[in-house]
Amino acid sequence: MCKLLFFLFLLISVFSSQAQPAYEKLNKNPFKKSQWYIGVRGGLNYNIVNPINRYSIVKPTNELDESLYEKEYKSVENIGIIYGLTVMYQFEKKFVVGTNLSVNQTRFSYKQELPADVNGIVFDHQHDFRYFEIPVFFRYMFRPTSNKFWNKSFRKPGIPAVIPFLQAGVNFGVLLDGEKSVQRNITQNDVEVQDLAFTENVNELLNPVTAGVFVGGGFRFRLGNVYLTTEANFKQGFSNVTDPNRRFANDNLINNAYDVFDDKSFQSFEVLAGILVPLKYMNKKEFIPIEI
Amino acid sequence: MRLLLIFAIAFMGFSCQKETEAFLPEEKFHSVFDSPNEGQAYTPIDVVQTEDRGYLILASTNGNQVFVLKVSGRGEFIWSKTMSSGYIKPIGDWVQREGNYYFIASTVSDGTAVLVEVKDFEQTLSPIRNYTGYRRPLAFGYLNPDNYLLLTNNDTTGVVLSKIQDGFAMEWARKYDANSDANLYLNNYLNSNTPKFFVGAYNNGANLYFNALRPEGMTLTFTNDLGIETGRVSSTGKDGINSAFIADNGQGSFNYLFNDRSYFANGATVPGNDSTFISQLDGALQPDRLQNKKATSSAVQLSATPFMVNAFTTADGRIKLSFYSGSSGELSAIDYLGGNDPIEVVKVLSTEDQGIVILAKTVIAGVKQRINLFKIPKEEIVNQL
Repeated sequence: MCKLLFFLFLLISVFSSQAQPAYEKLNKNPFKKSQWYIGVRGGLNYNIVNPINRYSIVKPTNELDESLYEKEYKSVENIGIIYGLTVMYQFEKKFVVGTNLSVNQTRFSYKQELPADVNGIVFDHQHDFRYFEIPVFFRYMFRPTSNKFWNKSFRKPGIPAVIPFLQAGVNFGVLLDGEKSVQRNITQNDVEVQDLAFTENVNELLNPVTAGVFVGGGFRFRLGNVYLTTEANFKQGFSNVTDPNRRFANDNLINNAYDVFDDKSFQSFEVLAGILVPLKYMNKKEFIPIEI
Repeated sequence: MRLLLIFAIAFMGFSCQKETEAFLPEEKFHSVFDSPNEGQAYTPIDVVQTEDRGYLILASTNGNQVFVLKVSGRGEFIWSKTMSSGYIKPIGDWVQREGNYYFIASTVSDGTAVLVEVKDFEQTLSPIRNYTGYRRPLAFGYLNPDNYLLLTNNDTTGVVLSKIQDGFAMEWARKYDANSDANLYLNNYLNSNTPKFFVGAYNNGANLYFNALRPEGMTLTFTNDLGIETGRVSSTGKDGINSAFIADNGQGSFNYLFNDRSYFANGATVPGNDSTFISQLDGALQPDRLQNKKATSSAVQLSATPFMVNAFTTADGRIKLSFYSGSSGELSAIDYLGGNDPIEVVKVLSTEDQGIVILAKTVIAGVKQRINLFKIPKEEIVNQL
């Protein structure tokens, strides 16, 4: 019995001594411990305006009418597009850190009505902002990285063709362009007339940099030597989009549209798809990427 | 990666550049005060800055009812009151005494001048004194910080100037003409003209003046401190002085109409002891001024430098602000307010922070006659000078 136990111990020791060099060989090669990815991605976002403080040029002459002059933000025509580059660094089997260099179109609209008995006056405001967004995020991938014998057996588990992931990050946006279109319609006896329409650049009314956070999730699909990713994110802006000290800077908007921006932040839901290309290859002739 | 970071920082720095100057909400705003009742037309009359740096606006509504609106220092609505229908036809200017604000209105019954007190903090307005026998008030204003001038049009004599004491009792009243049907005479003139009636004083209250309809036409009359006439600027027909700002040293700025043309005379010596005609004011032609709309001028301090700002409604329905150097009298800058909807200037007021507030009337989309209040910061004006 004692000999049998000794034999088994010896056998395990031998196996261990054989496994350790192979495992260490694999993991001690720093080139193979990480992977860089670069890619392109694009998608759509649905934007929601979150007013912080409301402002208006038009004000009531009676306290009972105060609520009549608030802007009415619309829930339609708020879809914009996103496109850009992705750079990611996978430093561990389940963790990726990355950034996107994206152009994000943010659209929203509101109407402001000057209530009246006969001649209804309605201002329709459409906005089309574009931000250069630079988020920094961590991505956690749900994938098996070891079986119960992995660390002992050097048998690396297969990498699934589809990997779900969750991600969260901070988002910085730099204003590229802010455009606003205004229409004024007058309605009398069901006859509607558009008597004013113009488009204005509103960059000077906006904060040049915004910040926020986002969370989301998606899937990574292996397509040969590249990856297709799909993701859905919820983004919450933390900073005021409007520059409060330049609220009254645009004379055309003030004098013709009777409009100034509310203090506000944006929330958005976005859906994206992209292609990721790994940059480190085991075999450069056949472009077999390193998969960790 | 480092290169990318540098690119991003440079890009953000470039994006942060802005052409316009930043202002606090108290420094620059624009407010239009609307009512859902489109048949309700508001005619702004006067504005004063209150002790809390807000503004009180005096206006009239349909039927000449008295309407007072309190606005915050940011141009936000605070409160408003419409006076009982027994009192109508409010006239400026606002005067301030011991934290309360006063203006003149008329009784519906016989047009008697009534002093109305506005208590800002209590949000009340109440008639506190009837000047019995003094009907059809035309103008009200300061003689000096403690005394006031009231101009009325007595139906049996014509224009009457009264001195109102500190406690609002009348000290003296003086008539100037003998017109047995003065009301009819005034009514006929108002049917085809839009004259501006005003009162004021200079030389520390030693010299008084008023602008009113006299038998020969609209006349700027100068008196001594007892109201005895010492001089005048006469005009006939549609001619007349539309606004006057007379500094304590007797230098005056006048908007006036002469021979169907608009003129502005800046820094003219007031003929306080002489009788002249409006043609002798020697003002500069203002071809872009809409003649039948108000014009106003007032002194402002911009960065400790005195300026005269003259404002009038242009032919295309905007407000033109012309800034003249207080020392040389030369035109230094021009600014325009307004857009597609026509807008008319009512008053320009210098504020505590050395900005200016412009009270105006606008008609939105041709259907809503509303009160407008602009605040322009000092820096924005100085940048143009």
